[in-house]
Amino acid sequence: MSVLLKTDQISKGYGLGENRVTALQEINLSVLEGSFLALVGPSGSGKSTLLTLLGGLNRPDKGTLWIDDIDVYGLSGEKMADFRREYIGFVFQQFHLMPYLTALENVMLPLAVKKMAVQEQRQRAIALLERVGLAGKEHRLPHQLSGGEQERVAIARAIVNKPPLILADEPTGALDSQMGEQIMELFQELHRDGLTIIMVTHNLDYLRYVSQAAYLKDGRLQKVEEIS
Amino acid sequence: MTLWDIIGSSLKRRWRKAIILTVGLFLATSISVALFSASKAMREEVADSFDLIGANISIIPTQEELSLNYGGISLAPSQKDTLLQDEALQKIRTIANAESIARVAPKVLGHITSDGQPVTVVGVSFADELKMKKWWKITGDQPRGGADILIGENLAAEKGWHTGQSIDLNGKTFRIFGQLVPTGSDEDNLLFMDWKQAQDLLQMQGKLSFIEVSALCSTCPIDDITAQIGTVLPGSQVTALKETLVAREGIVDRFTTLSLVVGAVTAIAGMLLVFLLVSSTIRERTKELGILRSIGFRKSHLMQMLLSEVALLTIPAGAAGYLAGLSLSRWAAPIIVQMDVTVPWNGKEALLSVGITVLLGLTASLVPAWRGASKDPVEAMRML
Repeated sequence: MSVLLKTDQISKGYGLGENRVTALQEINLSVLEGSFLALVGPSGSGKSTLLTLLGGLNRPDKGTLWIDDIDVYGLSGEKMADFRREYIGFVFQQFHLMPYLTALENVMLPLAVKKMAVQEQRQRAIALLERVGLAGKEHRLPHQLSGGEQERVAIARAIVNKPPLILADEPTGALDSQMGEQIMELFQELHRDGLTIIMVTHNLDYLRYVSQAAYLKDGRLQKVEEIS
Repeated sequence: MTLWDIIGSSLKRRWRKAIILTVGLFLATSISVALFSASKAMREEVADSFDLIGANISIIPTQEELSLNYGGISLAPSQKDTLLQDEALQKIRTIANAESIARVAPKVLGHITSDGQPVTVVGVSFADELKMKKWWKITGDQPRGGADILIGENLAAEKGWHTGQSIDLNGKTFRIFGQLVPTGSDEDNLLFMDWKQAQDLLQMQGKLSFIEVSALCSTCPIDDITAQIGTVLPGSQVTALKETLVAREGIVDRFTTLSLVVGAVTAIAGMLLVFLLVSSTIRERTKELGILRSIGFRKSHLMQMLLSEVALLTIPAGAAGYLAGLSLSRWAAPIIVQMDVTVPWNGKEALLSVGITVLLGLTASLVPAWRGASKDPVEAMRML
């Protein structure tokens, strides 16, 4: 399998002068195509910061990131947006759905700036909602859905553009354990279908669903281990 | 799903703020339009007044002895060698500002004797005279020229003349076509006839007693025209009769300035309202904008969305504001300025009004929209 993502000496800090805090230090990470990688570590270890850097939502103080041989930080602001649209699907802990759009419309949202016929957008979104177990709930607003259902909508939205890489930030963090398991099973299915997934979690129980785990501590990458 | 669907859903969700913004801009537009329309209508009314006054430049020969009076102008009656020549009429048309000259009306004045009593004759070009003296009211027919004459009320009473009667003057027969309704001026004692006929009757062939000029002074500098006529007619006195309307025009100028100031203040207030509302809306939507950025919306997409929302609200505000402003000025202008002011519908001004409202709305929204669209997506979503 080829390398989909590779970082070289990525470092990131916040604040100025004496108040400067180092969030990440010289992270070197390679992720193969089709991997399901968990970023684990205690609070403040830099997991979420690394995820935003890997998704091009933020830029590091130094270091480089290649995804599919594209120098991501070399892209301009608008090109970076295009890159995110085509290559990355984000799933957030707080779901981050548009409250005034239905489940179907939320899933179709990333397609709004693509030149795709509305009918095709609709068909694709309905198929995805069915796949994540929300058939019949397409026209509900987010507040009419449970937390788990909202997370499923967020997952459908993340994959509607068929990106090669899914980045998930604590996707089960706002769910109870039963719903958390269901969401992890959904991620596992997506992984089996060939998607590359990088997921931040502090719950070591979920490592049984992933293929690799990268451990962070105090902004440093401690180790990457394969999980059978 | 298109950007327009998102815009529509967003407006539906924030309908209260959308209404406040639309009403604010509607009020700003209607006040500005009302003031602008009223001052414009007043300016046009003053221009009409200029036309009604008729001649605004008089040209008389330079003279020492003054004994004839007509329309407030004193003239020497019989110094025929100093009179103006017929050619003066053509020369006036050759000045640099000739396009601003609406009418050139020749006058031939003199006395004749009828039944042993003197009668003052005024030779005029009826075609020009009747258009310049819009206050004239005539009983009978309007004279056209030739042997047609028009007489003042006092003269008719004194002589016992009446409309339709033929009279003999110095051996020539003329027909009274009409009688002037009293004007309370010298005109009530005068006899008007075609100026060529008057030249023959008074033996003043090729001579003119004076000339009245009607210039479109609302669009040109009357002092320049006066000076230019003085240059082409040396030896004549050229006088501008503008004083009567200067005071009125001054009032309109002051009102126009006031309208512009109030209009500008209203527009700025409208822009401030848009700025505050859009800023507040964008603050509320920071997270939403961050989400859209994270899923691949460009800054330009967000700008397009935010500004389109404002444009959609400002178009009806501008259109309704124009109609309301027009109605307001129609009602208020005659009361404020005590004039019979007409404020007409103007399609181009309506479009301009909508255009300016949209432009003001977009200008006021530009900075908050740019700030919102440029916000760091991570910070916007408070992911960290």
